[in-house]
Amino acid sequence: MNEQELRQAMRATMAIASAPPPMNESPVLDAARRAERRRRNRWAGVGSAAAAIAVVGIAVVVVAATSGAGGSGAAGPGVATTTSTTSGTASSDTSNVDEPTEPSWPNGQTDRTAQKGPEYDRGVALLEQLDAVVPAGYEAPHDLEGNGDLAGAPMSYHQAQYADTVNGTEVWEYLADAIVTKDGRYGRLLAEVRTPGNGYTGDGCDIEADLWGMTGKCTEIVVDGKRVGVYNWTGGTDDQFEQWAAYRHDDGTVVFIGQSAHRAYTNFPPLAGLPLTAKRLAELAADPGFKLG
Amino acid sequence: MKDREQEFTDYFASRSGALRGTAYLLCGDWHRAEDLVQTSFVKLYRAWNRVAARDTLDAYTRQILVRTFLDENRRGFFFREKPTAQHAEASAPPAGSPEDRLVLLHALGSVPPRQRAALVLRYWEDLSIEDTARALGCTEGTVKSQTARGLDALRGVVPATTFTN
Repeated sequence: MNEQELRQAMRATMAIASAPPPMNESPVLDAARRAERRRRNRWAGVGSAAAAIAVVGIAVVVVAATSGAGGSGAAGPGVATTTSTTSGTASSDTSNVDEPTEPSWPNGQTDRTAQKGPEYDRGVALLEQLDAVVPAGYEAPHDLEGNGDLAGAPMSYHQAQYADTVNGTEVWEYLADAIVTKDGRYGRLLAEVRTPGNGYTGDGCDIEADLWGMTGKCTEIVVDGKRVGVYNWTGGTDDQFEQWAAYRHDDGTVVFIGQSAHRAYTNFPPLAGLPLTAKRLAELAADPGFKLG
Repeated sequence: MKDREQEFTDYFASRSGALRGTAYLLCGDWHRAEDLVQTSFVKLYRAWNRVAARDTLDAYTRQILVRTFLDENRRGFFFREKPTAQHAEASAPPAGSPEDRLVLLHALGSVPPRQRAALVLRYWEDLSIEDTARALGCTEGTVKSQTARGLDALRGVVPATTFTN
């Protein structure tokens, strides 16, 4: 396929694509107005002129950091405004039945990601836990920035995301993502924890724990009587991890531990091999320390 | 003179369809494409009064869309469909399917997001290398390498004769 063939293929594809009806501007306008109201309310909440000046300074820095050359305002991690025209995974705001597609976020959050508070702290704790299990001979630098597609992006990252409310219980997803390095080469470790209500059932390979759209061939490893599914990547929409383990605790919490000998979307030279053995990966997935209490 | 909201509404009516098409090629799913367009227009609304040059509005809005798409992908699972649900991008076409649409979407879905964005901007939006670089926030050299790698990746997953007729 050359450039011209791709151009023609895209046009042919879109010509026969069954597009849904045109989008209605009302939900977009409503969402935009609400976002602006929230922004104004936040500003109105600033008590003193001095505090206001300080916040302006911070806001300018954030905007500058996230806008890029054209100043698009496209948000980076932690400052996104998220809306949805579909119900998605967020629960609808039941207090406003006229706007059933507007997601609502707990704890005063403006999007899925917790920026502070106990959920945020659990994300921090998860990264600390991941750092603690980096194998001997490897380092997990926190100040390393990416290159290539991820130029300037932090290579060490944590996040706590509200997923849904199921039977009155908030479901949260925590992620810790660490680049690991040895001898000038780089790989990656991941820990992801999904609290009860996550929808997973079964144990071991029965969990069917595809990760981020990646599918893998599952092998069970038993750790102290616990069945852990260890997956070796075989395909899917992504290839960021070569191997991951998944364990479902008795209370329904599911822990994923992933690893890769390369750091996807960067130009860092890859490790000579995976940093952890499959057995160690399984042990970590079943480790109560990753369950976050 | 039209007020801000009317201008914004008119602009949405005139451009949301085209942007949704671009978003669809980026993500391979109409629902997510609409989410991307909505998120982009919410961001645009916030900056509407600052965008003085209306002749650059399309480029500006496209830039927001592409960066929103890349940002969502960079943050991994947080803004993706639940893994228990079949994602449209993951839907491989049936063997021997005559539907080139599925073949292309599947192939694009297998290309890393930034390369995919470069391909869509260059060959769907017909942007120049310079404009593509501006939209992606990277150098022209990076655009060249990204499109080259993306095309190479597509060649690896699209049967050679699929789009040659």
